[in-house]
Amino acid sequence: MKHLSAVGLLLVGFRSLSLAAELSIQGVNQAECWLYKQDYATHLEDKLDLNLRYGDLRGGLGFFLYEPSKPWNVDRQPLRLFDYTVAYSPKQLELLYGKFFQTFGKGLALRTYSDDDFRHYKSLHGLRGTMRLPLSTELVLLGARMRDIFFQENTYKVMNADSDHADTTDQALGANLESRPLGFLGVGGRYVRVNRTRDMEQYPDPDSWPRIFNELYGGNLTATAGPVELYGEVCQRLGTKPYVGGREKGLGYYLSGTVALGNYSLLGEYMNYDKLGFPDVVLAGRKTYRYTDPPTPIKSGVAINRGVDERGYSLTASGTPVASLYVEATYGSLDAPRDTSKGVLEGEGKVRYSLGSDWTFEAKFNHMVQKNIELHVASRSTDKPTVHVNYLLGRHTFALEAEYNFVTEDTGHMADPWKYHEAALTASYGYGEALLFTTGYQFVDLKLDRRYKGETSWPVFEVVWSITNRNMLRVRVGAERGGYTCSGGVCREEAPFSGIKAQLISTF
Amino acid sequence: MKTILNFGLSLCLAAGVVSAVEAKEEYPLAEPFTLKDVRGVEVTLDSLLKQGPVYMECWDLPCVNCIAELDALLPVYDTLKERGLQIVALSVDKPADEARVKAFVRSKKWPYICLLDPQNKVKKAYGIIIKPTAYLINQKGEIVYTHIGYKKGDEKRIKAEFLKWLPEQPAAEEKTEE
Repeated sequence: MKHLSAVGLLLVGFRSLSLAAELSIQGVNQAECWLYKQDYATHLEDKLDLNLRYGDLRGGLGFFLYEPSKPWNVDRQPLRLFDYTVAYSPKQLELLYGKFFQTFGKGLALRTYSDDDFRHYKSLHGLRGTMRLPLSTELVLLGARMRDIFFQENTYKVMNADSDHADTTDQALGANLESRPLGFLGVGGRYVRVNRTRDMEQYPDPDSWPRIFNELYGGNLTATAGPVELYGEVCQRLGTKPYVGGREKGLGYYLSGTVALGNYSLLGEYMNYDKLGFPDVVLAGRKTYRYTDPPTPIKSGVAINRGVDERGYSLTASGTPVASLYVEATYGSLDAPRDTSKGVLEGEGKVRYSLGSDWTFEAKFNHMVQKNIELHVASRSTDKPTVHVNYLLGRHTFALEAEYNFVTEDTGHMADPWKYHEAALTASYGYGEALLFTTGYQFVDLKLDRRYKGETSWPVFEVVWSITNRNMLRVRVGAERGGYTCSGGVCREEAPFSGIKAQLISTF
Repeated sequence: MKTILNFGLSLCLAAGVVSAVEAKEEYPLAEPFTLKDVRGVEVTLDSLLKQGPVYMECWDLPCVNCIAELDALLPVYDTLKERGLQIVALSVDKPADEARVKAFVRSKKWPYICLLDPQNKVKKAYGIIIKPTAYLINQKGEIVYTHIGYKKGDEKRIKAEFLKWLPEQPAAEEKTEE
């Protein structure tokens, strides 16, 4: 009832103001209904976000409903959330109270975000002040508590909420200054302190949980000279050591350099993180969430332990030799100096060519080796060629995508590693702007109980109907192996699934 | 049950406000923003709108369809830039990928205004859920067209929308006439 009152007051307040002056309201609603083949379970979800603006006043309202049908247990529980934001933002200042997202620098000290592709929402709830000063300078001050919601194993989870390990009560205080006093030079400095109100592992009795904390401070420098841009960021962590006393030190730095010559560019990155990520304890079989999210050199986003012990580099060369041709080559390597059994290596080459305005061809080859990244997988090596062809004929669009993945996988307890192939074929037909039909088939030639629960094929059919340019309906029937997929002109991360999915997205 | 009831009532309230606003004006107003481009220069929506309508597309590096749309719009932009069309490629990649975005944009040589939204402030303010999502904003600051997703051929339909909102004469000539 308290929520309703708050919403009512906010809306009525804005409504009253609208009578006197111009009020702007924008919003988006995403409604989804899933029917699982297994047990005919259902998943109902609705996300409504409203943004209101009246002069220098801004308001935001967010509603989230998740209603699973299966018998509820610890893993599958309904979730209903209401969020709000109120902000006063004249030109050089913004004062905000409520839910917000914030990243300092490249994320070595602090990063919260909303990731709709992965359905991962790491938000801060509290107070933030932003001042825009001369010389392209911006100062951010914040004090907030964090909430971490993510979608895993086809259910939403609030990290550690309502458990004995409820560290969502952690308090974050931070300051960040970014400035570009000269066109070719940018500087930044930051400080973050996270007060953990509970130390779960060391103190089983809640009454004895001490207030331990972590401090992070660092800075960054950007220098641009003609076609060259250099960036460097360093961050130090000072944590507490329960029982032992003293401060636990961590250090991380990230360097990048870009050279652009004509239609070509070359990017190099180097990073080294030692005890920067925190906490690094394992609770109930899984690691607790982190406040930091430092860059990884692996293009597909694989990391080892998110800044606890990582060292790596990457090189990317790309160019457009002629207007219709784009080429790209990437190589990245990441290892853990204190645990040499872990590491990732990735190389990828990509060519995209347009023939007139009707044909587009794309060919890609990706090679990746992962060592002790996944639980119970000592090594996994993949070689994946992909081909994508698009053809346009009047109002008819045709698309074909095929990939074939050669996989070698070793659990570390086998005489011979598994060797198998994962294949995927997708064909699409679109008519005009409104309709797109897609049929896809994924296949693996070895029964893998652990990875795919014994399934070997995943057929799928999808219709996307753009009812109007602000309303889109998407219905998908079949099975999905999971992963980052693009279909219907939309890219997103899909969890493994079998059944029917309907999604209606409306913007207004 | 109470939560659902509350939600329903709140929706009704929201719908009331929205309908009141819709009755007053035909198109929603675009949220103003200040962002840095890939060279580190601050750009505001207001400053862009002074020069002509803006087509802003939200994209990120993994989104193949976003990049395909921006590539496909190149000839459209070449034809219509003289009439004041501005295309904004709004990168919503995470801050850790900023160097990759800059390198990618440089090698692509896109003539667009390439903005970085590492905090996803604009993405949140515009309620963007899926990529690509694009908005055509007229010089009054109204969102007159929204385009969600991309498939080959959409650029022709997007161009038709541009033509509805661009002046007949090149923007420079109009200014001279004024």
